[in-house]
Amino acid sequence: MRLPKWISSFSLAGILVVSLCLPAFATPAQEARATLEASINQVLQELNKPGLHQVEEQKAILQRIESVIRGIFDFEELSARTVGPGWKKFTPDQKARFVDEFSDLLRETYLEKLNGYNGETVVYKGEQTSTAGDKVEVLTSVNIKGKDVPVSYRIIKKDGWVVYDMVIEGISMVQNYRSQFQDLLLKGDVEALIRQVGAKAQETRAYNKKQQITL
Amino acid sequence: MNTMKRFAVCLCLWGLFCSLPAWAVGSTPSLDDDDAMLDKVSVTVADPLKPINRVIHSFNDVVIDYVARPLYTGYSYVTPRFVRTGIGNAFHNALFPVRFVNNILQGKGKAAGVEMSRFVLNTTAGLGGLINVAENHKTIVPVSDEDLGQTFGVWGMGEGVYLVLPFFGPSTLRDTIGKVGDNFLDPLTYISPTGLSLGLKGGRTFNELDGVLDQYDNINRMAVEPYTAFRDAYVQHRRALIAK
Repeated sequence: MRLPKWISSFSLAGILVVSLCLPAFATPAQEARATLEASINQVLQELNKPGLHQVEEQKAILQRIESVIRGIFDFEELSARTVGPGWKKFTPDQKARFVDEFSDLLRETYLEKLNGYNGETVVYKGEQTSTAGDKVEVLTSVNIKGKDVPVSYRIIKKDGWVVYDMVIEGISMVQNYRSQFQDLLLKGDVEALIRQVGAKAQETRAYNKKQQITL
Repeated sequence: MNTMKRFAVCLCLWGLFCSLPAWAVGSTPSLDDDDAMLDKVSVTVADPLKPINRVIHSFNDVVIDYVARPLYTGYSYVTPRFVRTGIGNAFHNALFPVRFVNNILQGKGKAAGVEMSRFVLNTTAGLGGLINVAENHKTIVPVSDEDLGQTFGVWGMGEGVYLVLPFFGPSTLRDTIGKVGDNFLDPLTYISPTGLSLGLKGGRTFNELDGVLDQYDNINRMAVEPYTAFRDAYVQHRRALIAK
């Protein structure tokens, strides 16, 4: 018995719909990568807008980029990991102020990097998942000045997937800040550290202002 | 006899230094290990010479800002990019023996073969290395540059102590000894008179400044404590190269 044509095309459509819904049951690697890719694509889309270098439109574009960054990076997780063992000794108030200053610094450095954007694209090279399945490292490559620079994003599952570390050319950003903050905490107290991080954020902001990158 | 004895003493000292960082593990932990960061103090590399290193670090800062950068800015203003790239390619091509021998020493036969074919192709079709023909050759996969410091690392030697070298910047005892060894495989070493040899080496370093200045600025813009940031970045980067 042959099925009427409309039934087979209906089931075909059904299969299509089901397969579109599949990402909901995807592996951690797929989920993490999809979340990261969506954010990177949003940023690249904004950067490719012709208004990027015009004063009137720049502000709106940078604000949209910032909200993407705030969504994908977990600044609290980043702060806790960069401070390391000392984090427990921070009072809740000190924690909040540190997160503020540190995310300010990271945001300003990120904006400074975006200023040098010259049509580069991101190539995805694969993913690695932790044994527990709660963390994924997404490996990418960015071509800068004719050289392929490996950049990987370490992503952890919270309410959604969020980035907690970036590894550029084998250098973990969290580990690098950790060794700095450890040295600074040996020399001074928590308040001094917060002041120094804040001062660096100010310095980078002043530099960005001079280069006309502002938010 | 006397030289032999001195050599043996040096070797022993070096062994001592290289065994130091057995406790100095902890850079770029794997995904499974990086939670341990939250409650462990990390030591990237032993740095007993910190006071001297810091002085040389500041000296290098001055050299970069007041000598290297202004000179390089002038140089890049008067020479088109393709000229600088060509010169860089030729110098890089001439360093083939360093990369080839170190690939062999690390047992990377395939990469050694790649280096060989790159060298032959670039020296002939690439006009003595001025043009990097191999770069766009599909069958020649890119390999990363190997050096003696990495070879020692692959053999299981630790970094020894952290050193900041005048003009050359961050290094470790192991990598500094590696640099001296690589020098014997550098064709420019055998050019006479010595003045010309040193001049060409200086020119090679100068021509590479573009990338060096970028890295220098990148780290400085982000760093709250630059000395530590450079030390950690250097060691993490080298360990990643050795693990490759």
